[in-house]
Amino acid sequence: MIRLALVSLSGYCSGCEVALADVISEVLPRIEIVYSTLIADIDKLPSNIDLSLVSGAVRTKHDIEVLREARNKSKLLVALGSCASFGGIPGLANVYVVAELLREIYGTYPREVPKLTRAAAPVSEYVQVDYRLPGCPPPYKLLIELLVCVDEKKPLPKPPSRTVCDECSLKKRDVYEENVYRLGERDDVDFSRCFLEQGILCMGIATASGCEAQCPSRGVPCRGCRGPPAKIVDQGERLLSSIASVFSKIDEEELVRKIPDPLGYFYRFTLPSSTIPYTPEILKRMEKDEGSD
Amino acid sequence: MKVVISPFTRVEGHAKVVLKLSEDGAVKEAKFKVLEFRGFEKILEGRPIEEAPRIASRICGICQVAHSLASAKAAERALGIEPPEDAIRLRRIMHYAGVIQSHLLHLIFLALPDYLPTRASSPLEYLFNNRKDLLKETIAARSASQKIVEIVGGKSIHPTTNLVGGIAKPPSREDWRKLLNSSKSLVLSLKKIFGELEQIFEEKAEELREYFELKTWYLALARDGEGDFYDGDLMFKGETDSFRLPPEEYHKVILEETVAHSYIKYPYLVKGEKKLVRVGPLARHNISSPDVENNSLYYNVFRLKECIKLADEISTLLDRPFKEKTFSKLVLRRGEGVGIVEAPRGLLVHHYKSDENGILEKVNIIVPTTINAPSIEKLLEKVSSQYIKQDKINVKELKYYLGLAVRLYDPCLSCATHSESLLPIIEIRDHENGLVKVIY
Amino acid sequence: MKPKILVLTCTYCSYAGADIAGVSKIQYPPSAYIVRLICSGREEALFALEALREGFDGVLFTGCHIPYDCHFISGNFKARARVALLKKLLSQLGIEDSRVRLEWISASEGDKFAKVVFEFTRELEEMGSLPKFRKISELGVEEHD
Repeated sequence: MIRLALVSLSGYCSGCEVALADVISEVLPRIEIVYSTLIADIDKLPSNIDLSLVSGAVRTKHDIEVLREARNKSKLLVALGSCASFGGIPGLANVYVVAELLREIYGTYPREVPKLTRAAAPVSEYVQVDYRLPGCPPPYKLLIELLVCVDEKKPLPKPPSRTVCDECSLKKRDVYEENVYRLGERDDVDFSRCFLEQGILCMGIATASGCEAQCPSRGVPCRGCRGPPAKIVDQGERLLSSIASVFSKIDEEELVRKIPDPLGYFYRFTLPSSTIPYTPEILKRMEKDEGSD
Repeated sequence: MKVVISPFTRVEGHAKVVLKLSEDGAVKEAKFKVLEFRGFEKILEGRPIEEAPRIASRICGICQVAHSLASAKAAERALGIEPPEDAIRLRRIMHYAGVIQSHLLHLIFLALPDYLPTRASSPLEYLFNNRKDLLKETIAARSASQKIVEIVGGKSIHPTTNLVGGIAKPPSREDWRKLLNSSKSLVLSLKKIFGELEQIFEEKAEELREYFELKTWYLALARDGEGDFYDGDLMFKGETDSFRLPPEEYHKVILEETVAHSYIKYPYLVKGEKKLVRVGPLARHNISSPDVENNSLYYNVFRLKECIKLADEISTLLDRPFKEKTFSKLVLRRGEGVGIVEAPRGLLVHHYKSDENGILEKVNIIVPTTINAPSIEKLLEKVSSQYIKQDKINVKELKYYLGLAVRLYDPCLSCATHSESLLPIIEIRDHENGLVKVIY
Repeated sequence: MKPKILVLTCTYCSYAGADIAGVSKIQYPPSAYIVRLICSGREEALFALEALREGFDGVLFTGCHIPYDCHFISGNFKARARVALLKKLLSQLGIEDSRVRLEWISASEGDKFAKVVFEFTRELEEMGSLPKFRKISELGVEEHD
């Protein structure tokens, strides 16, 4: 039996917890939920936790406190899902200065609520992480595999070094379209053939395997939710540099019109763990704040 | 004096409740605080409009299908694209299955524990040990509905095949057969649990009717006068009055107000003055029923009934296989569009403006929990005044009933802040704002 | 202090161009740090992102003249496409896209090399330097108003 804590940080959507609920009949005999505010009524972290599954990006002061407490009380701490692993989609807010954002959305920074960190971050930014299980949500198979390994005290699975392309069954001819299309702009897509070769952006080339190329096999290109394969740090940069190479014959202006959002295509799930994880405007604001003290 | 309950458990997100007392110790007001922030509207701005459904679904991992659909609909309106008929049929199938899985998740894992004889701290284990049959059938029904979402949507959580313009690739004949099977087992499992659950939820609703009555306006989507989950006009219904509005004009009646105590904005039904308006299963029932049910506890009863109704509708929609083409080509232009669907928790609005290259310039999202938030506070005020009298606080009762009241709305704080989560704490504060008690 | 510039060069054209500048004793700011790569097709966005994070003020991508001069046929096209997307990315991150610049410099254009470095240095001087990046965990929390 695993003494399991489900630690949901504030930048979360519940999808990872729902993933656990989806496989519950397979894992229930192996787990004892000792902490969860979503699917149980336990709002105090007990000591002696075997495994903490942390989901969501770190976004508030309170998140940092809960996270550190969970780390101290757990034998194993696993970042579950892309937000906890890399910062995830909430991390795209790192191009804004939060205080300015709040003022724009609410007219003010609400006072009676937890203070926000200046940038969304993956869990590893604050505590040591023993394992990352990314994916939005993590593939069921891998989630079950992880819980079985922990329960049977086997070594944890190796992080994938292969890419989605390696698992993808779509046919490749090594012939690339000399044009790039926005998603849906082609209505003659051949669903048995590689998307990138047909001029449709697909992020499989720099995305870790493990999902069995679920999206491409269902007629939609990969958007990189599993993050980079082992040994690659900056998934977005790898995607940018290699996709630029693929479509290098297109002139600059047209290229930027067809790929208008490098940040949203290439860094959709990983901005907070990339080379430049937030806008320097945040630093300027911080220096201003510190100066005024 | 002020009471705070935090963190609230069994709700999706982090939140707390603050009760303010007057000088004589009676409950003056209740505040429901949402403690998260993610800023999804701003995250969507600057993104290509055709990428929006796949990003927007990440607002919530429970009602992801609804967000994906509202997003695609808003984008289609903005670009003037009409998805093929079979794409709409597939979307409805996926949407209904999504609503069912969300409802079941709520009813069994989040709500049912409030109705159990023993208040086990891990309801899951309680059910596992005591009500294996009920748990097993619910899990079976949920996985059947998740399977349907997966076959149509490519993934059961954050589905991907729903694009601006329709569904990327239609399910094959074999997939259609699989859908039929899943839909059959869904109906079967639901029928097995329906009777018992209905009785549990209805009994409690009648027992506590007096405390949970709240007169408000109701708002839901309706097509030709009939409630609809995917399409239609906005139908408002009050005690004696009702009116209809095209979806594009939602902003004429739903006004968002910022409040200091929460990361969600508060909307009010305007039409002359501020009025409370509720959305969700109760509202959906009320707009198409001759009489109005004001007992908030009926949220759960109607939630359950919707599961059965939607499961039957899925079977009807699956009466024939799907055509080859379920997708209309993307054509970019400058535009503005509103997409509204009935999410599991109620009316969900996505409102997009794009530039001529199809880049999102302005995004507004109103989620059901946001619309319900002022009513949640009203109900908390009413319920808590039963348990706080002249400074005497029955902590156990208070915590139980406030939790029950909040959870009736199945509040989804991830959605409401497009941004954060709901974990209540109860905090009691006196008329001078001094902290009297904190209840965890 | 002069702005620090990372200059990415290819072996067959732009590095040779920089070499000519040196051999011909053409002066250019010493704050340009030249890195020789085999081809402009090897000039990746990562080098620029890391340089900007680590305190460089600008990054100059250089290569053989487009379209036909590249020793490896199409490396310069790759550099061009990368710089185009990289510039867009930087502006999305709130960083001036003119901190990254692309120039074609042949093996004989020592004067052009020097001129470009001068120009770029002046532009970067006007822009001022980027703040020093810190780990997110060192940024702290946003204080209430």
